[in-house]
Amino acid sequence: MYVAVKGGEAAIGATHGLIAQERRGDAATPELQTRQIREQMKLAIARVMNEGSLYDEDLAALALKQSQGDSVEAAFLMRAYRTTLPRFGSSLPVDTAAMAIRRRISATFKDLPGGQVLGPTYDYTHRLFDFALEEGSAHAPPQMAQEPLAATMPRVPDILGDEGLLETEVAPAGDPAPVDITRDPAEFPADRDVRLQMLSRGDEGFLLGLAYSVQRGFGGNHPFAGEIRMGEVSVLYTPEELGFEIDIGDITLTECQMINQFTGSQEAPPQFTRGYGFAFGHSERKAMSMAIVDRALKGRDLGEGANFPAQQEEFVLYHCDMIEASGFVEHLKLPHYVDFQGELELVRKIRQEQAERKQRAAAEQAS
Amino acid sequence: MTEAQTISGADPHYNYGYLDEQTKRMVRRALLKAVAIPGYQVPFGSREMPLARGWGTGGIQITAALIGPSDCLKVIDQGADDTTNAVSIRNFFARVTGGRTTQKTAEATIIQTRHRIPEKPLRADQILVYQVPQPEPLRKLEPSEVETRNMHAWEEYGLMQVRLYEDIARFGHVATTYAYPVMVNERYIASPTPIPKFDNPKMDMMPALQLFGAGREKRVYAIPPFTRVRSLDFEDHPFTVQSWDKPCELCGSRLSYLDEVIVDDHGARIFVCSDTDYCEERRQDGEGA
Amino acid sequence: MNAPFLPGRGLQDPVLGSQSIFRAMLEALSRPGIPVQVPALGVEGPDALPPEVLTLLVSICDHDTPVWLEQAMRASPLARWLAFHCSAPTTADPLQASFAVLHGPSAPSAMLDQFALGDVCYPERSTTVIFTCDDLTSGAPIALTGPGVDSRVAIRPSGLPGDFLALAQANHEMFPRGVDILLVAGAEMVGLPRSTKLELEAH
Repeated sequence: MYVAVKGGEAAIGATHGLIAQERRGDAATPELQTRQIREQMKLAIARVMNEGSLYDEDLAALALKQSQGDSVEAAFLMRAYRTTLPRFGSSLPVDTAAMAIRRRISATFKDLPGGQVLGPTYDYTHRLFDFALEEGSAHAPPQMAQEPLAATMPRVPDILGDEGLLETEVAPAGDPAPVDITRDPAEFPADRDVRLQMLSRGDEGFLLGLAYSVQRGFGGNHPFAGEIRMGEVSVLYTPEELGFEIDIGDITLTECQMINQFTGSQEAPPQFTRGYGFAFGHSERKAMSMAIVDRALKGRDLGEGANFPAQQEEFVLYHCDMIEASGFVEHLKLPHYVDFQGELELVRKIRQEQAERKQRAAAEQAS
Repeated sequence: MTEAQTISGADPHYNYGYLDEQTKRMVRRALLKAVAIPGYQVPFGSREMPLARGWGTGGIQITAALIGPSDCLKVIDQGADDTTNAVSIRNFFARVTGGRTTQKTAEATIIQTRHRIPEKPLRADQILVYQVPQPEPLRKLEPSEVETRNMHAWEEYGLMQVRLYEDIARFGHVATTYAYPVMVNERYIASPTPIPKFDNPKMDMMPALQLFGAGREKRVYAIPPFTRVRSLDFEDHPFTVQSWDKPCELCGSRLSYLDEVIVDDHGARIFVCSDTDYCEERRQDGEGA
Repeated sequence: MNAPFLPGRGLQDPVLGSQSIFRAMLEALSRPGIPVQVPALGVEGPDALPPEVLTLLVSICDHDTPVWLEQAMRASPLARWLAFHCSAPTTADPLQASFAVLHGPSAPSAMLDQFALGDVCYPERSTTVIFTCDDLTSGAPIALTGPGVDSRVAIRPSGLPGDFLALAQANHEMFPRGVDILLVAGAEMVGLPRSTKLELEAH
């Protein structure tokens, strides 16, 4: 008789060995170094850092190696590690106007102060395989501009804002420190600090789909890419014991400001509204999607209603976190036989009672 | 603050119990409020753990906040100590605390559980920690957190009564067999977690403290010892629990929750205790086949 | 300006020390009326408060939890001692207090309803009040019922302000809002969460 009551412990041990073997693949192939991942898989690194909520390219590379390139699993490793890190304090807000720009484009103006800076992008490549990469490639060095870019480049919405055409973004009264969603659970209705934090570590695919739904008509406002910029910014921190700010290093960021038309209301004249996107590393798709969804979720304040998925705050914010989503969906792999037994018993009982009722009815009819 | 001392047997790379002290204090403060407001879901700053969301991270955080060197931990899933996730969680705590673990209900001071309450009655010196997938008993009726929070605040529980009664009208029974909602201390409707309703009566006036952790949903709640826990029902349709025609095939118990096990390719089946420790102890005592 | 600050001693083992204290507090609040020992962990600090109260505070408080103290205590070295050992700020605003200490028979127990009581949507946002008294055995018996109490239990606290019972009863009436009380007498404490009903026991 087979009753699988014991044996879980040994079986679990064996799965650890098997996954290590799978990860390594064919031993005749040189083993991947985390340095190679960090340098040559930068966009994957960025995604892992964003969804893992931790800026550390070396750890993200290790996470990708350990998870065989599964970005959700890699982000999960980052999050679990993040839990163990002591908190020294909060950095000062980064100044993206002072970003060392490597890319900056605006779709709303043909030219603007500081110019359009195309930078590194796949946007204008043809998606044709470069078979030379299979054997390793010696690429021609890029042609650099004669003049360096301006040290400070105004953000496009700031230019537009001067005319009063664009919604101004005002900090809440007293400019309180933002809630930290990694330490305090989000409350609903959520303020914008909570929303932006949740979106910034939300899954790129989920947010992309929502942003797309807004564009296609499930949300109905047409966004313009006011500006997308990518480059390095300094992170400043004021240690309590020093009392003055110190530069603790540079991080790569992508920022996106979407501009949307707003027809105005009884009180407010028509003006443009904005959505904000922000991501670690070079992550344009993520930053754009986030900005569109941020704008859609402003609907509550603008009296637009919440008829479409992207406008429904609890729907979007509760379900955009892939660590939570994948954990819960995949927990269905855990045994549920106790609950299932309860259902089985109930379904059998109801069926039996129905059958008996039918029998009785038939018997009564016959008599 | 002084460095934590190394505790023998605990992995020196991590703090005792994995969580840092500040996080433990946050969980602890939430638990103190939870016992003061029985059945009310206290929001807490749930952290990501090295086990996946939905795999017991709420229970794990509670256990991590509770556990000390004098504790002995038992972890069960579906009533069994040897199911994969129970093994995984037990090993996790053995690693980060170096502490004692057990499979025996009687030996444990903390029992972390998923989907069952042990058959052996729990004592006042034990704490039962439930893993909770969905702490909100009203969520399936009302998806919005803003709405359900108001319903609890003002005791607007009519929707739940209506749903249960619709079941009766349609099936002749309340069609909920697990996570059957309970009323705690005649104030808050709470989810008993997906335990079979068979276990609901054990929650009522239990001498042990019951703590509930929902990691993904970021809530903890509690049922203090000797607290009235009533399964919702109607006068003309009183609450009943599952029963089986046959005893456990292995130990002969007629009092325990049974799992159905398919034993051959033709669908032949037997019924055995879901609580493996209870079953084994009975067999050792010479009961059963 | 003032006398030099004497740091005394905080928790020698912050990990296991605070764990044992937390378990005692959890035990006390989940079993109202049953005296629980406050583990002696060698904490030393200003004598404005008994060492047991200091032990509780340094085990559960940190910079996220403002502690309300009476004006005189706030101005004493106690505030600095707390900041030094657990980073907890002190506050003069009872509504901001996560924890509060009311010490001795002269303590203004009328304060109880001045602290944060939570709101009906978030009742947990309330102050936990540590209330000291002389002992738990020689006062008039108070019968306790409610969650955590096996049918009925009596406590006999002495050295509490005269209006304590009436205020604690009023606190219970507000359930699910209200403060939660830890009565500390020497090395023993008793939990009186808001869920506990208190009645003067008839003789």
